[in-house]
Amino acid sequence: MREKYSVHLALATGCLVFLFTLLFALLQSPEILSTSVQGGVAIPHPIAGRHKCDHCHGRAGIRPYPVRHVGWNNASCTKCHLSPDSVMALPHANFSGNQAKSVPEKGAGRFSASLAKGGGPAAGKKAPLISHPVKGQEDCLACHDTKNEIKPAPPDHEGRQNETCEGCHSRGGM
Amino acid sequence: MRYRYYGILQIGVYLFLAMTPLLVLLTGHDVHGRGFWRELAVGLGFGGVSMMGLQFFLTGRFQGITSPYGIDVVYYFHRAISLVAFVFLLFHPSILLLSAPATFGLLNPLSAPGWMTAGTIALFVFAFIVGSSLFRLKLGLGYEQWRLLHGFAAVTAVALALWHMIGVNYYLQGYVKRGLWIALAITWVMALLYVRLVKPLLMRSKPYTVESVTKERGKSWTLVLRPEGHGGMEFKPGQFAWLTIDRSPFSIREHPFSFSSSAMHPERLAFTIKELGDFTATIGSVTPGTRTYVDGPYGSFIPDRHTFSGYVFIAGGVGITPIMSILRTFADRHDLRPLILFYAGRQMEELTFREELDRLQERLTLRVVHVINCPPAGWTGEQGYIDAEMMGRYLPEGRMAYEYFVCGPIPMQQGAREALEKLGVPPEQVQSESFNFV
Repeated sequence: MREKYSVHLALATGCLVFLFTLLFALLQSPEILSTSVQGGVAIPHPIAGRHKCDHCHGRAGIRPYPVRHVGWNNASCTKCHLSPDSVMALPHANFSGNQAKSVPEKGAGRFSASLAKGGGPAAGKKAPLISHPVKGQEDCLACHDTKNEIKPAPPDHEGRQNETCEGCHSRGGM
Repeated sequence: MRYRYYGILQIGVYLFLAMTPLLVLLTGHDVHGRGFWRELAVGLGFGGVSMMGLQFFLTGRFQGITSPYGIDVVYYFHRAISLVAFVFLLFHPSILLLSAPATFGLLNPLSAPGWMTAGTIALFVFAFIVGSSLFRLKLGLGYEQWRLLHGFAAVTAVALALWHMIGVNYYLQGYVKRGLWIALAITWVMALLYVRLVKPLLMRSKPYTVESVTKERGKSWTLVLRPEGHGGMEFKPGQFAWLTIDRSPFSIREHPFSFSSSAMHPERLAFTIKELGDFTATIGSVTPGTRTYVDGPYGSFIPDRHTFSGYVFIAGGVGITPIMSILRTFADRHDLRPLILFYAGRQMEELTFREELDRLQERLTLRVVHVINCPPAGWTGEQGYIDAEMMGRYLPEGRMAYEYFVCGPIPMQQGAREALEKLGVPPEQVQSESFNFV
C-alpha cells in the first residue's frame, strides 16, 4: 500500500518533470510551434543552391525576417517556409506555366496561392539573365514594373520589390 | 492535516528543485534551431541528472523530509523516482541517436572526445546503480557491500555526467550556468557527506552502552541501551532508529530497529530484534558493555500525530515491537482510551511479549486477541489469518473514530489493509510502516 503510494507519487512527479522537459524542448525549437500555429509564408523563389537564407533575410539583409527569428539557423527556415522546389516535390502537383492549377494534397493550398500570386519560375525553367549592367540601374522597377511600358515583368511579378529581383535573375556576366 | 499540507509543499519543493536547473538553462539562451527532438533529448538528459542528484537528499534521513510521510515512503519514492530518472537518461542518447544517426560515431571511445565518453560511462554507472539495487540479493551483494558501492557509484555517475554536460559546452556556456550546475552537484554530494561524516560525528559525541541482552519468545532479543554522559534520546512511541553496534559510528554497518521501550524513558532505550538476516542472526551474542551508536529517531508510525478516541493494533511476528513501545508509553501516561490488539503468530509459544501483554491488559483498557496459525490441541481462541469477519467480531460500533496501526510481514499488512477497507475504515486512518529499504 505504502509502496504503491510512493510509486504513484514518483510516476506523477516524473510526468510533471517530463511535461516541463517537453515545454523546454518546445521553447527551444519554436519552429515547431510556428508550423502548428500558423505556418510560415511560402518562399517566393527557388532555393536550390541558396542555403544561406540569412544572407538576404538576416536582420541586416535586404529582406529581413522578423525579430523573433533572430538566432535561428538556416536549416530551420524550410521547416516552416516551403519553397517552390518542395511544392514541386509533392505528388500530383500540376503546374502549367508559372501557376499551380491544383495541388490537392493537404497543406499545399497555401503554396499554390502563393505561386499564383507570384512564385518563382516554373519547374525546369530558369529565370532570364539580366541582360544589362546593373550598376547605376538598381531601380529595376523603373523599367520592369508590370505596368511599365518599357519592358514590363510578367503579371505574376506584380507587387515585387527591387530587392528580390536578383533572387532569381542572375547578372548575365555584366 | 498539517502533515498533509507539509507533504504537498514538499512535493512542490521537489518539483521546483528538479525543474529549476532546466529553467536556468533557458535564461539568456536565444540560440535556437537545433530541432525539437534534439532539444527534447537534451532536456531529458538535464532533467534526469537533476532528479538523480536530488536522490542524495532523499536518502539523507533528514527529519524534515521524512516526517510527513514516514521514512519508508521516502525510500520507496527514492527507488521509484530513480527508475523514472533513469528512463529519462536512457531516452537522452536514444532520441539523439535516432534523430541524428550520424552521432553514432560519438559512442566510439577511441575517437570520441573525453566528455562524450564520460557521458556514456555515466549512463552505464547509473544503470549499475539501478540494477544492483533492484537485484541486490540475486547478485549476491551483502547489504554493507551494496551500500558502499551505491554511494561511490552515485558520486562517480554524477561527476561523469557533469563533465559531459560541461564538455558539450552548449547550454552550460559561461561561468554563471556552469557554476550553478557545479554548485548543485556539490550540494548533492554534501548531502551524502552529511550522512556519512557529519551524522557519525554527532553520534560519536553521544554513545550508548548495552546494559542487558534478554532472550524473548519467538527467536527475539531485547537490547537495553544506557546513554554514556548524556540524557539519551527523545523519541515518540512507534518510531525506530539505526543502530551501529560494536563498531565506529563511521561504519556503514548500521541497521534499523524499532524502539520497544516506553517513550517516557529516553534514558533507557530498548530494541527488540528478531534473528532473521546475516546481522540479526548473531544479535544474541552481543555482550553487556558493548558500545553502541544510535541514529534516530525516525518514522511516522506514531499515535501522537492525530488524536483519536481509541486505537486498534494489528501485529504479526516481530511487528509487535513498535506496538509494544506504544502500549508501554500509553501505560506510563495512564492513557485509558480503548485499545484492541490483534496479534498473529504461528504458534502461541512464539508470541513475543505474551506475558507482558497479559499484564498490560490490567493497566490499560486493552483487549488482546491472539490469532494462532497452528493452534495447539484444545485452543478455543482465534486461528488462521486476520480477516474482516474476525476483526468485525471484536471492533466496537464506534470503530470509525479509531486509528489503526498495522505492523508485520508485507502479506499480512496487505491482508489487514484489505480487511479494514471491507470494514469501511478510511485508508488515511490506517498507519503502517515497512523496513524493506533496499
